[in-house]
Amino acid sequence: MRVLPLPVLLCLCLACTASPDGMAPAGDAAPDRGWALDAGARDLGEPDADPDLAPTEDARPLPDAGPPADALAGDAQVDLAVPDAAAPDPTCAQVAHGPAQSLTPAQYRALVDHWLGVDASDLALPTVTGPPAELDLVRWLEAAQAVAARVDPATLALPCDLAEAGCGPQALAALAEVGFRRAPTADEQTWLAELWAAGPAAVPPAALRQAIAALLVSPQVLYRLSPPPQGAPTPLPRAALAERLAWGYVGAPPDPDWADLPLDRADDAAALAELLVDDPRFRRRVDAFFTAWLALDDLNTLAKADPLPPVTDALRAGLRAELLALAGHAVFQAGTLAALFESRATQLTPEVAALYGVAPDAAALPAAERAGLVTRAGLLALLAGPQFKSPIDRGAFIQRRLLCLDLPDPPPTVDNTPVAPDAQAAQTVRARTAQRTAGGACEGCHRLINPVGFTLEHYDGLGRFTATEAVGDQHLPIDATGAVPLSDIAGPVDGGLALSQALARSAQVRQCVARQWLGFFLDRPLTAADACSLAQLQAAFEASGGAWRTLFVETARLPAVRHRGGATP
Amino acid sequence: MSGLTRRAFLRGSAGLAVALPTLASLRPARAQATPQRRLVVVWETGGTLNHRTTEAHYDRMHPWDDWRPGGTPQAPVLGPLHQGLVHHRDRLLFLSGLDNQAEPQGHERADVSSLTARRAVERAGVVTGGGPSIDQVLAERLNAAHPVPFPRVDLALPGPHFGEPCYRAAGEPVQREADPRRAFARLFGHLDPDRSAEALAALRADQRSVLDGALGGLRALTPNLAPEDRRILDAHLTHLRAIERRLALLDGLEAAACAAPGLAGVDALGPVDAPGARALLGPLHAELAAHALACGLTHVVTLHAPDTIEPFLPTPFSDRFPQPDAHALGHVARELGDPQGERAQAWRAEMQANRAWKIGLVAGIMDGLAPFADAHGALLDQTLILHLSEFSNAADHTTRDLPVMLAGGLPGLAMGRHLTFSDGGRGDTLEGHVDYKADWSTHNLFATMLQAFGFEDEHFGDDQARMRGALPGVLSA
Repeated sequence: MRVLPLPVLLCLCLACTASPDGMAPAGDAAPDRGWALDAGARDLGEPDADPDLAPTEDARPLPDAGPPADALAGDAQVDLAVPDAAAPDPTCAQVAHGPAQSLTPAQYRALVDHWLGVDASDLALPTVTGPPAELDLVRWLEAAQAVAARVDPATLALPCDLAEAGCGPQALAALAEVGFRRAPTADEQTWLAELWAAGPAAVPPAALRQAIAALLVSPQVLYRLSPPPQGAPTPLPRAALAERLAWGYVGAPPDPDWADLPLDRADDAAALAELLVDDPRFRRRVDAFFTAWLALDDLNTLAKADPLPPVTDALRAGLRAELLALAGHAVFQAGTLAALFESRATQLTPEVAALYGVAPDAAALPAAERAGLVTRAGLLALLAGPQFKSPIDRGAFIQRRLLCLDLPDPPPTVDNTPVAPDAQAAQTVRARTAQRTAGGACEGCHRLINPVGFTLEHYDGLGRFTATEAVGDQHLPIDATGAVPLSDIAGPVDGGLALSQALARSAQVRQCVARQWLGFFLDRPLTAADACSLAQLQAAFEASGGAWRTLFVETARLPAVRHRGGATP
Repeated sequence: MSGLTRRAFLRGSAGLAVALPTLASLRPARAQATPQRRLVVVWETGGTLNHRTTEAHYDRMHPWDDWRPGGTPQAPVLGPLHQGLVHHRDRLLFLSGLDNQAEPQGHERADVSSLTARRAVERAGVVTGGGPSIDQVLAERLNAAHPVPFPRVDLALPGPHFGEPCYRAAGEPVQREADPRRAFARLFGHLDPDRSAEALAALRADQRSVLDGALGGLRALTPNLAPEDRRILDAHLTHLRAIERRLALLDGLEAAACAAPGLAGVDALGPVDAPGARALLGPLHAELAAHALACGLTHVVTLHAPDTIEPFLPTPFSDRFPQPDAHALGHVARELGDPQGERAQAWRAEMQANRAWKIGLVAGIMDGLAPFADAHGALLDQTLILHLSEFSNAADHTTRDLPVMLAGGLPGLAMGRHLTFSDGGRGDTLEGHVDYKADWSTHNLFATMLQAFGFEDEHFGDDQARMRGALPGVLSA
């Protein structure tokens, strides 16, 4: 077992002050917006979520989607050893309780579509984390009335004819069972009967719509609540487990057909997971996972300036589609994590093909220039400044998102001014980056960041491959040698292809991907109490050689998924 | 009004001088004997263009102070950033030398403590406000004395920011409406001339039924919940009841007594996050804010202006030296070279235009309020407007010597002055740092505001403040 010191302790990036010549301090990496590490970093350049503006609604913005490395490893050390490949222990002494969760906008839309047959895609919905604000309630109320007005009672699967006497409460209880994702309690049955009685019962469709609007503003529909943790972790109630699996795998509420499926044992949950990963809706969840993990929504606002060509909407869409196609190929065709980093398979739009310099119908990218994810133009363009490539952004992204290194955010007073080459001094971006981050407090972090980003020096700010670097009128040689410090990737790494190969073979990357996925699946930050479950998932993923299907299916067995948290010992 | 189309309704009062229809006049039975005081907070992310920095090398590279007025304390001369407020000069009060002593740190901690004057707290890894902000405290108290349909109205221009400054309670940030069309519908829907009073009342009755039903659901829930879940349900319940109260208050309004804002230009507004949309959104939000106050729909409005590069303003620096975002634009001040050089001057010109436009939001609200008066006088003299940023100098992110401007006025508050509360020449000088110290802080500013509103608070916020009490010399004895 190889145990490395806690990375963050070596990263003394406490105060990047100005260099002695009075020039600016390092243009620092923008804070990460990783899904499972620090998805909610609310700092530089990270707008707070606005329900009207958030492009991806499959996952709520999370404050801290992953525990610090020490929380998971203990004693300020990170265990980078490959976990034991033996069969996972089905129990854990600790399971995180997890906060109460409200429906995300995507979940709300999926629910009303599944439940009421209503398309709510045009409605403004809040993304709520923690206690709701008044405006959140106002938005839910407005949405509830709009959804209720669109309900066609004739299309609902009701147990009786609304025109018949006594049908109303019965119909409402049946509807509530789907909307609540569980059977109503006795108190709730009483409430539902009162709700029906308070409405315009003489006009059953109107009464039903009014009652549905009330249900849509009720906590039973909007939140997932749980009793306080007590004693040891206990199995989730069946309905709660079904709901967790449904949202996690297909982004929809549980299907009524599942009522007959056994779910008591880990094998039962895994058997359902086997079915769900073959569900067409799972493909959308995989897209959502990659979008959140790799921050692909940022491509929607990608912009470049001279000397780079302007970015069109078609190029933005094409770059995003190409990355998701690569992800789809790795997951559903090749089936391994390694393929994500090594595959040259592609699906191109004419705009992206022109950027790569290949024919639009090319099925694979040039072997001498491209491999998998980290050499794709979309990611490289995203991790760059408006004019030039950014080894700092690239290195920080790989360390944080792909290797789960717990790098702190830059100090607040550090500017994030992009590093530019210097034509007068004939200095490349690499040379300028090294100069500006040398010495002082900056070096603590940047010696972990820069060498990773330097391996991608052959790709410019738009992700185009270049043999030399244009600096003013000069064409300077490129040095793409680097390394991946503080990882299980040993020795120097020269260029993007070598980096891709190293990432594909890295156990640390596999561990990190398991961690990112579990946070996404649970839709919450991981905590120290998740360490046992995470270790089980990592072990299973490792034993499979990085098989995506194993990662996805084994998730259903985890105590973090199947159990309710106990009291903290 | 029944013959008006909705479009005409939207444009109904544009350009009109409107006799003040406050809530008191809307509901004559509850006419107020004392002036109704109102609060507006215009909060700008990212600091301003001034000379207050903490490190000596910035000081040399950033010699301008375009925020601080010139002239004398009793006769300030407005600088470049405040030129849009020249016609309101006598209703401005500049306060220099006030620090954020609760959280003297950059970004999120500075942001979330800016209006709470309390140390930030962390909830589930998120840095968040440590208590209610000054706007919330005033909203609760003003609403308790004179209930209004909307105890507070929170608007925002869309764009990146680093933390919400307004909190209902610790860890409970307010949410803001960025779309003026939605804000209009909520605030002025009860004035819709396309619907009869009966139809509007029926609509509200339907909403009340929905709320009643949802409240029944809350009662039916098991009380055995985890504390965090219980906190969520408590907030849910509180807000449902607030909406119920609002509907009851709206029932009492005489619709014809108040004119909705015209919202000129709203037809041209597309998605609120479209490039350049803020050019329209700024004036629209200012107009909404003014009319919501003037119509007696609320006593408190907050408007958040994010740190954004504005493509509809002159961008002589960004055109030539693109920056990824406004945050980088602020920081790049440290790489400008000769302050008199072309690069530095282009940057200054762009920052001036940017910050002046955002301060112009205050002018928009004041202009919107200016036509209104009631029996107690001009509404502008009964409305306190606070303009504040979490930072002083945008490049340096310092929370010292914050850019504080009060506008409008309240009885007992002498406007038309520039007061300075730091001596700038003693105290905790560190090597390489600028010599500066202030005893007074936002704690004292907010205590002053509470007293200006007629409350007797001697302190606001936590115990991080060096001084307690109101700022000396701001309020008349």
